[in-house]
Amino acid sequence: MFLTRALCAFALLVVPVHVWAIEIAVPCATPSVFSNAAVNVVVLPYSLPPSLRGSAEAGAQLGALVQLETVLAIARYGSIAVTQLVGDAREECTPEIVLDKLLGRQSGARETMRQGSGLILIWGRIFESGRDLYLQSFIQFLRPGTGESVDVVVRDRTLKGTLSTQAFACAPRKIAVKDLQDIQRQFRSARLLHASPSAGARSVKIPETKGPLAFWVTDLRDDWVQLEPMDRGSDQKFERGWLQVRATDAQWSLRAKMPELYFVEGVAGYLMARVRSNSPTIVDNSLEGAEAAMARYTNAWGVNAVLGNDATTNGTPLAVAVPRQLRGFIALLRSRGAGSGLVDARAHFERAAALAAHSSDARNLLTITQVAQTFRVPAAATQTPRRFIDEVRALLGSDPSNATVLANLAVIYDLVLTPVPGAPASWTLSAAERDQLARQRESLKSLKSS
Amino acid sequence: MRTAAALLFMLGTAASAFAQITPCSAVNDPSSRAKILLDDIVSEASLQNLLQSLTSRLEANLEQVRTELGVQLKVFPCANRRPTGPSDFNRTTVTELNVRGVLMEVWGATTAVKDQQGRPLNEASIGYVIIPVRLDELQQQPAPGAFVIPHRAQPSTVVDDLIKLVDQAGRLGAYASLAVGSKSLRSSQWDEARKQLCAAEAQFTRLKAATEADAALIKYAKKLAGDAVTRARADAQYSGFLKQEGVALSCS
Repeated sequence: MFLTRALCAFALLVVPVHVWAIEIAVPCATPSVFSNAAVNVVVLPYSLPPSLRGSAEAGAQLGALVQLETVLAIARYGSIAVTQLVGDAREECTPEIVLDKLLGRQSGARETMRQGSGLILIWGRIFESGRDLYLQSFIQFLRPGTGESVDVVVRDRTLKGTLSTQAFACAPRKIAVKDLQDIQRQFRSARLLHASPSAGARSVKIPETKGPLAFWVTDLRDDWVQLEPMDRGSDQKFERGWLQVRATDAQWSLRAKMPELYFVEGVAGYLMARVRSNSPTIVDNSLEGAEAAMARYTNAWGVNAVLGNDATTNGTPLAVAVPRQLRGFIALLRSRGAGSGLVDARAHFERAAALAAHSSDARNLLTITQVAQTFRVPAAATQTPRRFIDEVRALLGSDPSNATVLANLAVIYDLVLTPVPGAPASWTLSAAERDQLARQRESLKSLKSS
Repeated sequence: MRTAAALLFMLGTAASAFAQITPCSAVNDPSSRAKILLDDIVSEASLQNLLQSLTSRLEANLEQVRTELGVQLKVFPCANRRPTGPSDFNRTTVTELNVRGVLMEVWGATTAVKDQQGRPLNEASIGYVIIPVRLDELQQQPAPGAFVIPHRAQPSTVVDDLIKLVDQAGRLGAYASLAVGSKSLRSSQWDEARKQLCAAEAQFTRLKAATEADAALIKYAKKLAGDAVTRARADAQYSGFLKQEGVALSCS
């Protein structure tokens, strides 16, 4: 009995009770993250046109609602923190300045990112035209010091793929003026701390403050989060309380208006799996959640998209291509090298390459899955692997300093030059071909970019 | 004496050239070596819907370019700067902008016009100057480096359609890649030039409604992409992939 109690007490000491944190109303001039969290999400205020004076706070309020919605969506991944920034979206609240500060490239951040942990930055603009309102979000995700890449093992060698970009514009969407009013109404209700997770329970208002307020998120129940004030230098004191994140009105859902929040949920799960790659349980759960959210996003991204829902021609192809590429990454990571993952990944990479035809990284992702499939089942291959050399050389011809593609080319030469047991006769190289390919392979070693 | 007179003449010429358009102080911002300028967008009072659509889309489109291009660049608004047309961008002005790291400048105007039958139309004109291309144009290259693209709509056109009409996301992305590629070519950065020029070519081919200027620019992007290979091969200092046997001049 004593031993059990001692073990429980020990567990409480070594396992942090609070794994989720939020901070609201953090000035952009001194942005901050929770450096111990595996994944941080930072939401900047949405910029509004000067003409929307009556709704001047709506940009910050939308940011606040995006923050809370994100907390609810990604809390299941474990160690996450979500910060809402406030300030002038046209001055110090620009993503490049905030990111530089959070990465320590510029001074001013209260707490900076730790190398290798995940960061998602969300910003955007609301614009007015006639009686209509439009909203466009922008998303950037990264792990400081690490570029997102995926490995594909082929025989005893490894091919690499990288994303076309880790920052993109989402499709601009039409929102009703009523939506803006709903944002404000929902924001007001999301600033009430209730004694229990019920709209009728006694509540206190979190006051409007010029300074930031930080909370531990200690529990989640349906659309409610329980917050416990954190001592982070603020002189504001509260009791622990429950905050309603989502509207009770089922007709109005922020995620339905902004499908990109599914992408945020998905990329948070993906980043968690990469950051916590030494824990198979966390990796599996995070990737499962990430794939489900990404699938919802790729189905819903065109909702209310004012420029149409043809991603090829609507001006924001990367908003569909990059999520597709991430779904390919997730399929490969989940399958741990099995062939089924390769099939799924190839399908996603194919869609992405069609959308981002200008990106050599997009075409490289498709090629490496094709190479892997060819070498895994040589008998099923319709062409000889030598054609991949020509394809990758053509890729490098349009992006000569792409180090990932260059390294892949060297690997493909090695694969082609190594006899494959059971391969069709057409794969056999003549002495002259072998000599030519070996010389080309050798010549890659002396390359330097301009 | 003769030198002093020549200097005075040169100063006078430069001053008159700059007098044509209001200077933009952001040009001198030292924090960015790659800049895009967004000038005032002017409008007739009756065309507020078109003005709002144009202004908001251009701002958002430029934010998209900044986010996705993969090059450190900044977009600067230039208050009260209102070019009257491509002719404002003469050699002196363009050289000055080029030295200050300006890649592109965009301006706009909305006006009520009439078609050939005298029916009223609303027109949103978007002016572009792609600085490195304009420099070449002023040295007798055929590709247009400064031009205005008009977009016309019936007065009854709903706002959603106006937004579609004036959205420039794909076009601005192609122009920005072309500007970076062309500038990189000038500074003998063959790999970056080739990458951006091939990307520009691919983006041009995706444009929904390519204009005459776009058609000329895609030819120009193809030519420069080929030049990047040719010049890299001739550069004794360069030992990158473009020197490999079999690299085609064309991008695809």
